[in-house]
Amino acid sequence: MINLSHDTLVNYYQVNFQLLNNFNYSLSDVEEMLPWEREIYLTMLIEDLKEKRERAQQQG
Amino acid sequence: MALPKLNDTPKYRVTVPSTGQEVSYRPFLVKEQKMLLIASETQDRVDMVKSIINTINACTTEDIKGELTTFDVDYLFTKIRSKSVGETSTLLISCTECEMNNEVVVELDKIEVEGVATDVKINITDDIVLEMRYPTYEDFMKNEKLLHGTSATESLLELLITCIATICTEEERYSTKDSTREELIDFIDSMTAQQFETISTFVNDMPTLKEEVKFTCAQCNTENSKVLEGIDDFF
Repeated sequence: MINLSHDTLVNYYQVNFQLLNNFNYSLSDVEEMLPWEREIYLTMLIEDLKEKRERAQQQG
Repeated sequence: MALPKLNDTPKYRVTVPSTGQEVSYRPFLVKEQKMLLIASETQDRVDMVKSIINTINACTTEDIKGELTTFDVDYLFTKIRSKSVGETSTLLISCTECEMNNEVVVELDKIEVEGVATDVKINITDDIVLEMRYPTYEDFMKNEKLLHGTSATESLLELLITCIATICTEEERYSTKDSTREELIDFIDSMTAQQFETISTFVNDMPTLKEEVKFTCAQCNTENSKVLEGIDDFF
């Protein structure tokens, strides 16, 4: 009945953990966001990690 | 001590379909989404409905007049959800020809409730008028037979009992709240087939969230059309 953008509780905690771990957000910061805002930060985090990995590969 | 925050979330306006009351609402927050996901994990319909109603109450800023009908709750939650998570929902709908699942994007913001009539009165005889009401989720949660009806006939009967608000004769006005379930069953049993059909039409034509989606199957190119009805179909 409530399928919120095909999210699950497991995914919810995993995303929060990544944002806390990689962006230095506090849990209350994340919990006060709108769900679509959190999605945007996650997308930006993934892009950022990709760029960092590419840069690291180029530098050998 | 931290002072309260002002204007920290966007506000939107929505009209409650059953009453026409305009109310303001804000999107739900990540912490409120967690409550919905926890309720969703339980797979218990009552928990899910309670969680949805709590979210609506938390996100609307004015007091909503009267009881929220089932389609009010579906509609308000769809609107709040669309501003919180995203204005579209991607559904998998199978092709009528080859049965392949196709991804179809539905714009939640454009969905409306169809067939709302206020102050519904049904003349079942020349001197007996039934005033009808739309059911609420509270009605479903309080009534096990309504929630898990064993047959379509039983569900229809329970729904009719719930939807008759008052029975008016020329001299008297009986509120069904003061009548027992047995009295109401006897009253419905005493109806002619035509009278029963008239009040059944009210239940069968109950307003719902409705949207027709059209898509072309990615595999066989068949043009498909499907009518989505009720909150379950949209998420």
